[in-house]
Amino acid sequence: MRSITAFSPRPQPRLWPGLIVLGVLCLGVAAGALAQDDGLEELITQVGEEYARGYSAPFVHAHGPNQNSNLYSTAKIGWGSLKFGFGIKVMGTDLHEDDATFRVVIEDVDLSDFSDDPLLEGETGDVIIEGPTIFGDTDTDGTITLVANGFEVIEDGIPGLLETGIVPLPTPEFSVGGLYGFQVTVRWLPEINLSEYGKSKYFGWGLMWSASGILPTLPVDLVVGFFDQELSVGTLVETTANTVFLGASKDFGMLTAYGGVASESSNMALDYEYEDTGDVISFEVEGRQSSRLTLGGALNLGAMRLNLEIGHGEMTTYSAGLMFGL
Amino acid sequence: MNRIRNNDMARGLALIVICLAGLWLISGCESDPVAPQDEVPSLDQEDVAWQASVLALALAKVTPQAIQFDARKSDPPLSYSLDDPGLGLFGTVFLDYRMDAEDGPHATPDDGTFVRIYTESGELAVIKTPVGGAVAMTFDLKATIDRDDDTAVFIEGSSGTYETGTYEDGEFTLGHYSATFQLDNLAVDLNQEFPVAGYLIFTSGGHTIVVEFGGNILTVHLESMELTINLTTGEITKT
Repeated sequence: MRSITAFSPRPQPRLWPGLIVLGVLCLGVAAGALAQDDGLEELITQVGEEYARGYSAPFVHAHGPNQNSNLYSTAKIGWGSLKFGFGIKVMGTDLHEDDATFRVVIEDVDLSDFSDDPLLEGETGDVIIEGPTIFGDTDTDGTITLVANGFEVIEDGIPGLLETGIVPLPTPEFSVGGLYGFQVTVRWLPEINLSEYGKSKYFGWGLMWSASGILPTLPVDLVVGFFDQELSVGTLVETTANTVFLGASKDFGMLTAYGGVASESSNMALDYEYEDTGDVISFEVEGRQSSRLTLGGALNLGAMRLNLEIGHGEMTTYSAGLMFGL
Repeated sequence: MNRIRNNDMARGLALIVICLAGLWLISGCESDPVAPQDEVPSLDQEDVAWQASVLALALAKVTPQAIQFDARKSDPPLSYSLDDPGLGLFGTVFLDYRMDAEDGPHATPDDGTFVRIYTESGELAVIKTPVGGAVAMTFDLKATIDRDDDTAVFIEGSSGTYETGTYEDGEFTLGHYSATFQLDNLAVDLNQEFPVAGYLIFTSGGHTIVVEFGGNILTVHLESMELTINLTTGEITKT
């Protein structure tokens, strides 16, 4: 009979409250940064859709790889006894250095659609929207440049929200499994009130099945599974992330080496009211990443399992997990 | 038996590690860029003609100072304020009068036979454009002065630069487009408000536009259209 080696029958109850609070705080801070005054809500409502699309692109494309990371740290799931686990996963998707800035060009448009300047009434030209992205320079405003007849009218855009080369996502995680190779994993946070945009919600769940019980002679343990997650920040941002994966692992005493492949998708929808016009702007973007390779290692210390992982597809995501089991 | 199983396990693990590591190396670890990075739109000949026309307005105001500037002083810097709100022209140019040549002895605007009109680093020379933006110009213009005819002709090497952007509250915000220009035998007269002859050769975005001076109405001819520059009113019209 196989079992999850990291899960000890000795629970460590003193860690439970602290870990849950830490997880809630981490995601709360992240969600709060998106929606608070001077946060994403304050900034994004100052710009139109084309600006918002370019500005938010690194966020849009990095959230999926983050959410679809660190879904397993071993392919070995027990077949005979129920096990519970809980802990925290922290993901960070690396951004290309070019993603600190963006430039969107819209050609041959009526410039009065982009400016109240009477001199531009009836003028056709190009619009250059550029500047820091959401993860670019927070001290520099972007610009909206209206180009007509080779001349430029430059208007202010918005600065970056958080200057970083790694897009972070922390999440608490809970799991139950160990019967016939199945394990259910849940990522969840209680609702958090975020100003006028309502409540943030985060929920994800996945199911894994390990073939170890029926293929005991294989040199490695194998697991297949899927995961489905939804994160919303009020009505401002809604994201989904889905993945199906195949993983393998091998134990070496206290160490577990694991790796795998996954097919994944993600989507982000932004919905806000543009201050200048009062128009409701709503758009969706599909995440760039569609597949990944995963490599990781875990250190098993009785009831505690610490793992580190690198996932690489169109983007590279680093992640770590600290899980406790009983 | 155990040894055989261990060997199989080791081979399996090694195979997985090698495969994954190989794929990892092949794919590289850096994330792809995901933020849009569109190219700045290129200018067409009509755009460049508009740009050249605005510069012609500024030059029509600046160049006659070679012969018309009035001051008693001989040592530079002599400065001339360009401020003309009607034309949307702001800033300062400097004049250095000499005898005979650029390296000749200092002279006054009354007796000098050579003049250099230039912009200092940090001093703006700006003209607003018909659509609300502005252009920042630098000048390095050199003219020989004929005191008998009361005329001046800008010689080879008279040139400058041109950058588009926006001018508000005394500050110029740089845009995306820059250009260079040269003057070809541009002539000014003590008794004429605007240049009487010569050419502005303006190059921007791979296009070159030539504007011929003479009188107060200039015309830029292109295949698809014509721009008329009225130096008196400062208006540029497309026909």
